[in-house]
Amino acid sequence: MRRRRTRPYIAAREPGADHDVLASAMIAWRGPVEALLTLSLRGLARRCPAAFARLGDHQASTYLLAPADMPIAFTLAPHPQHGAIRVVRRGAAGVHIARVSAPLVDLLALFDGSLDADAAFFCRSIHVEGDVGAVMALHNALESADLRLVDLLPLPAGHDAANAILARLMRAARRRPASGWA
Amino acid sequence: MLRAAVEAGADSVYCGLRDETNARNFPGLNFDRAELIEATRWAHERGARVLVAINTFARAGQTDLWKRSVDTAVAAAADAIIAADLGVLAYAHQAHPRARLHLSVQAAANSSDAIRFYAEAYGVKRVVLPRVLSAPEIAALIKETPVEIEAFVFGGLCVMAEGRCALSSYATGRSPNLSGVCSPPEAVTFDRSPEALTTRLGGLAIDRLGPGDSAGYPTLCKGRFDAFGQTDYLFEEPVSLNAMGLLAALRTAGVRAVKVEGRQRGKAYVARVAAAFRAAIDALDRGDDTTRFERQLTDLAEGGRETAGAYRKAWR
Amino acid sequence: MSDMPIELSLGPLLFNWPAPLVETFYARIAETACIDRVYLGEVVCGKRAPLLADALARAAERLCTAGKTVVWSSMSLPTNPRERRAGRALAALDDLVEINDISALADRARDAPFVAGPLLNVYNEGAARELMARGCVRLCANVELPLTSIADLARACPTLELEVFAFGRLPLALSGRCYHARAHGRQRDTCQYVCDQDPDGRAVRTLDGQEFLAVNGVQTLSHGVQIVDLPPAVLRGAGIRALRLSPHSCDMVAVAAAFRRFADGDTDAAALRAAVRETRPPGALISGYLRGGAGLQAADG
Repeated sequence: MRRRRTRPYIAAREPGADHDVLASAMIAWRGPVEALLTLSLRGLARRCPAAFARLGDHQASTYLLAPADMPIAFTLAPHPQHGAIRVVRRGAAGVHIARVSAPLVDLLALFDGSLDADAAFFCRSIHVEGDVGAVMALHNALESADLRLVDLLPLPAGHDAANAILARLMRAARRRPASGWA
Repeated sequence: MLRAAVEAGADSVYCGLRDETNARNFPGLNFDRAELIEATRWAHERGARVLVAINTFARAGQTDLWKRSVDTAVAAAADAIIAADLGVLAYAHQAHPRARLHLSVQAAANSSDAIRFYAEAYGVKRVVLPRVLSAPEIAALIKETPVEIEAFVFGGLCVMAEGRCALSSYATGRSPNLSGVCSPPEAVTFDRSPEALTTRLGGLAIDRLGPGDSAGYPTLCKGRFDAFGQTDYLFEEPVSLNAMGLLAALRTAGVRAVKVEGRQRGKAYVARVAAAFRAAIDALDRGDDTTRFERQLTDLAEGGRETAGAYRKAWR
Repeated sequence: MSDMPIELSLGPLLFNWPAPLVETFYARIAETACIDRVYLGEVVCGKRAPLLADALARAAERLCTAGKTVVWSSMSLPTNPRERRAGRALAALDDLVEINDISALADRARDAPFVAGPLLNVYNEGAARELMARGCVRLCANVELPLTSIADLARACPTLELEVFAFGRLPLALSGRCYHARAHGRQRDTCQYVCDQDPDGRAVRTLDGQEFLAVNGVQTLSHGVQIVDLPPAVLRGAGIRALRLSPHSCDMVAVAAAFRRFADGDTDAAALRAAVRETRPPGALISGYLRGGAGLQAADG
């Protein structure tokens, strides 16, 4: 029987169970989740055109971002006008130029730059497969954009309060100190 | 990266244009013309300097790209251009006589004779020393040299004479000299099996790591090879340079500026390293010890290991 | 230019050979008519120079008597006061010298003619002109340069004689650290000259067993042996005046003879490669750089 929750309980549970719940929710609500993330992406493209320009030809590539501790993954097509984010089951990913895999909290910390990508790579927290140049372009584009966790949500720029809540959730979700935390 | 460095206390920050004219020509890194102008303005507002790297060697028949880059850097009011190619230096000196020229480590000027040549011919005001000299050698050199000296103190370590290394182009067709990249990402593959991670460059195995080993980017000279009947890191371990412990010695020797390698590194790294060296240098000014700042940076080293490199003569 | 024969030069010996071997080697070269020019001198490690000084001085005399152009080559990476003194002494010579490091240029009188060696980073006409303004008459192209760039250089600097590294393990990198010493658990200062065990450099293989590089003290070379087998018309078209053969332990006289026949148009590229292979050079034949590709790309069969 499928269980529905109004929001994932990250803070109160074991990571494994949390992430399975989160994953199930995202698959169950795939449509809205994809729409939300895609809206965020398009908003970012409008606010940070220079960052997207750094992708160069990779604006047309599709990346697979796979949380290591979840049975789902995200495809990211970072085109400034036609970009989209999709939720997929692991193993059903389709064609992608590169795959980046890491625990979910590390992927989020890479997004807002609070985790140093090279350090995470050195300590084997993230794994990269496929076109390394494409991953580098994505990493450098993210770095140049000064993103915060709140940018994952399709809100207008700012929203310090929302970012503070997300940052608190992230800290609560950490079970181990990931190497390279600032 | 530039903002992170300045906010953490860096006095000058290097940057490059988005093409082969700089030696960190990685995808998605570097500025276009407009971004360079904006970044320079932003840095100047905060009392920091911007140094533009035009430090690769121009391609025969295409030297205009490098000349235009020099023009762009001057037009953006950058504080200095750092170059290595004789032709680029000559152009900058003739076309923009008032522009400040620094000599890149890619020019491999590792003696007072060589430095004197560049100073007399092109008016270079500062030289970045190759990482092959020991601290006493640097002190001796500075006594014989009229220009300012800048020395690396942190980051990736080049074990070969910079600007004269073709290992990367031998394996992949691209090297820092002409293309501005060493061990370019498009030639990299990470080959995972249940037992091991094999990092490859141009298909060649550079290292093989067990599940518990740290990973590394397959920079050729940091690879493990079979030679002399041994399988080992033939040229250098995948370590990082950390010469913070030598700051006092370098200052006594007369070094004018210390350089942190890592334009391609992320904000988190840059902010931490800049802050640590800012604090260490300020501590040195007060006559305090710098040991506690040294330890702050250990986990940022590649492979978790550090070296003081050639600064200690035993490295040879 | 199109009718001038392409010259053959013998590059400076890069390896640590014993003095008697060096003596007999150059005696043979003196009698080898097809070699026009010989570069002499210690380019890699100043510690070797005293061991060979006499042998090289006698070799220079023999070669001059035989009518060959002799050029003294400077160190590529002088790192201590003694090596720098040697560099200054060489720069002070009236004769033609080969400069392999910018410091030697600082000591050379302006306008005194010199050859810019392949270990300098000269990649374009701007840099070439800077050196020509100081007396450079010949350039041996940096091994990374593709043929198209050499042709661009020739067009922009028509009076500059161009040489190309046509045979031998490619010099790829130099270090302050000696890898021969390091592999034997020693330092450069206490090396005991172990590099003399490897007359062509010591082979380096990848973890998969693939031949890759070769170590020669502070120098790293390719494992593969460069061969420039482009048709003479193509070489002339790119402005190439001379082919440089880097000495190895294989029969260099036979190598030179094979290149002479090829450069004269008497044999083709396949015959050149076959003749060179017969001398058993220390690695597979490669020629990626001139084509604009990775240096280790194989020469054709």
